[in-house]
Amino acid sequence: MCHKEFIPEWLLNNERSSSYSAPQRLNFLRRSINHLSKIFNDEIYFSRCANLKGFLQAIDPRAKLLITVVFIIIINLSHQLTIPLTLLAITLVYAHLSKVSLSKLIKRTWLIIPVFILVCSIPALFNTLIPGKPLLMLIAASPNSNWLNHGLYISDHGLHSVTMMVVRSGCSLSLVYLLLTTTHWNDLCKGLTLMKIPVSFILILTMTYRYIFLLANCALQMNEARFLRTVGRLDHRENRRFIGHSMALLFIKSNYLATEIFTAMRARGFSHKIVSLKSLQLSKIDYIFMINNGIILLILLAWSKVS
Amino acid sequence: MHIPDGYLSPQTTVPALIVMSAIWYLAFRKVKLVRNQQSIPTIALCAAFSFVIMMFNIPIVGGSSAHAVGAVLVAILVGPWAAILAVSTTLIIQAFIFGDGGVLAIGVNCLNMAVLMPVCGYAIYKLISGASALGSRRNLLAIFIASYVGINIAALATAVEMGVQPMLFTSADGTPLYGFYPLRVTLPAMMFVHLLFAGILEGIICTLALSYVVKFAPHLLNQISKTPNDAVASSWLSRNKTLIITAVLAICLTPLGLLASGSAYGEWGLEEVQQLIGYIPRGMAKTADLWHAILPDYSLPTLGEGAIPQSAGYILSAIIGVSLITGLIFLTNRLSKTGK
Repeated sequence: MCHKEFIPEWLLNNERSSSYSAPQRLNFLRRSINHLSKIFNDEIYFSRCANLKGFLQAIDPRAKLLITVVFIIIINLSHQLTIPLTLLAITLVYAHLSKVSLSKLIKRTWLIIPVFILVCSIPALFNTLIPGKPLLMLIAASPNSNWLNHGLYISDHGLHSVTMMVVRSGCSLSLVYLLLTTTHWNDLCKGLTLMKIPVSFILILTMTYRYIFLLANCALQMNEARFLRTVGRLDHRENRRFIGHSMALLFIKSNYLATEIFTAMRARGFSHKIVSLKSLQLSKIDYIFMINNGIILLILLAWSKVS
Repeated sequence: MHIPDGYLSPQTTVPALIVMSAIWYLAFRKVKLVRNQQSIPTIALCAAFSFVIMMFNIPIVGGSSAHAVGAVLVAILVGPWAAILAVSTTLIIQAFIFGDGGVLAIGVNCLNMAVLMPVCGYAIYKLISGASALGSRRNLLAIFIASYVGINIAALATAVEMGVQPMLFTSADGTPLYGFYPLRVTLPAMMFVHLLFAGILEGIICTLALSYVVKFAPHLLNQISKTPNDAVASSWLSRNKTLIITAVLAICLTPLGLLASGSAYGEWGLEEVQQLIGYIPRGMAKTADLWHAILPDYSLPTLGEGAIPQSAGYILSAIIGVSLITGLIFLTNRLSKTGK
């Protein structure tokens, strides 16, 4: 299971959990450090999960990508809750079979963006925006009142619309998360090559993903150095100047790096081709996986038409 | 500004993805022409740079902070075509790895933040800075305005895309199937924050970053931004500067028409014709309902009544009209050139 980690949990945690409290004016640095270190935490976690010997880890990346995209399209086209919820249940079963921690999956995909969408959607629950049958009356209707003469209540259509949006978003995120935790980014990109996506585009995707960590590390070091050396109270103007200059420095570094990388690529005989040590080939299990999921979708669609 | 899955209908996201594929193809061709094979690590590093700068938190007031998008900054640093590819790559990785923005919504998000924002920002930068020296007051002002307008154009596009959903996609009983907030909610919600806070912050950060590059590594900016590709773009802009300024001014002044009463001579509706000559000619009555304008009376019904919504409708109609006519002229010009 993914929670049996060889890097101790405290090492993956950032300083937020420590007892030291930084001045409020340095919150922006602390947040930047948190965001940047999250990139590394995620990468360590994703690659560890992708290395496990689970169900989805054994499936070809192309088959997984295809099923994920088809599932997301079906979820976004459906107007009834049954389809996205059934597909979510299947996602959770696949996650369990692939030894991906269900609690982390739910925490990561359902407790951030869907909750934000839900909070933003609260006004849409009421009859003032989406009329319908009253489910919960908050202000009774009064025909004499110019304002809210139908009253204020949570409408059935409003609740359905909001629930659909939250569920669609959460289900799509869960599927993408499962794809990423069971597939290495490089394998996914290699799969794209075999799907006839232009090589230049895949090379850019692969290289970007690799060099994000290098630049993120540079940025992390800059932020940490500033955080540790700041004594006293600096005004926001000075802090903003630091951020602007850090960005510029990062651009200068990345520009030099690009030239060096290109020289290194040429020195190693770069020929505009993607070379991978892994050879991907669709096996019997991949076809069975795709056919099974296709049958599940057909049954679901037929069932939703009947009901 | 990252639109998640579920908010937009696939009928919106899939065409956007198709449009983006064409733009990516064009951008690949343009960038390849300029930088050849070296373009790959350059774009990849730019994308990684763009990704990392979105992680930087910028202090606002008290202990709160926000993050910049930086698409206009990337466009000014490496050119608009390279910026389209770099920011798109960033958005794709963000959608997959961090769940920022939906997978189906990648096309729409790229259109807003990787095309509209850097391209419009870059055009404004070139238009305002003109031949001014790098790092001069005019140049820095151009960077600020370009970043401010760029992020606001992206926010406006996002608000429109979200706001048209309840108009276009509803069930038989009128319940919205996707996004439920109409334009009168999404426009103020998005634009208020971006016009007053996010735009200014983006402008300040981009100006600070650019002024640093100009001061400490001006050769990089010169080397990258003075590619043949950009030279063509700048010469086109400088050639048509007067025309563009006049067109923008004319568009902004269109609401002046609201001050005039009655209809223009010869543009009478059926009721006015009846008032003027006492009857409606039979042929006119027959053909009057053949065509219903997309924007009747230069207004959008969803914007509502009042001087400001009507003015917004006039400006929007003018932008659509000018874009359509310019597009047709460009297309005819291109066809006539290829025909030769």
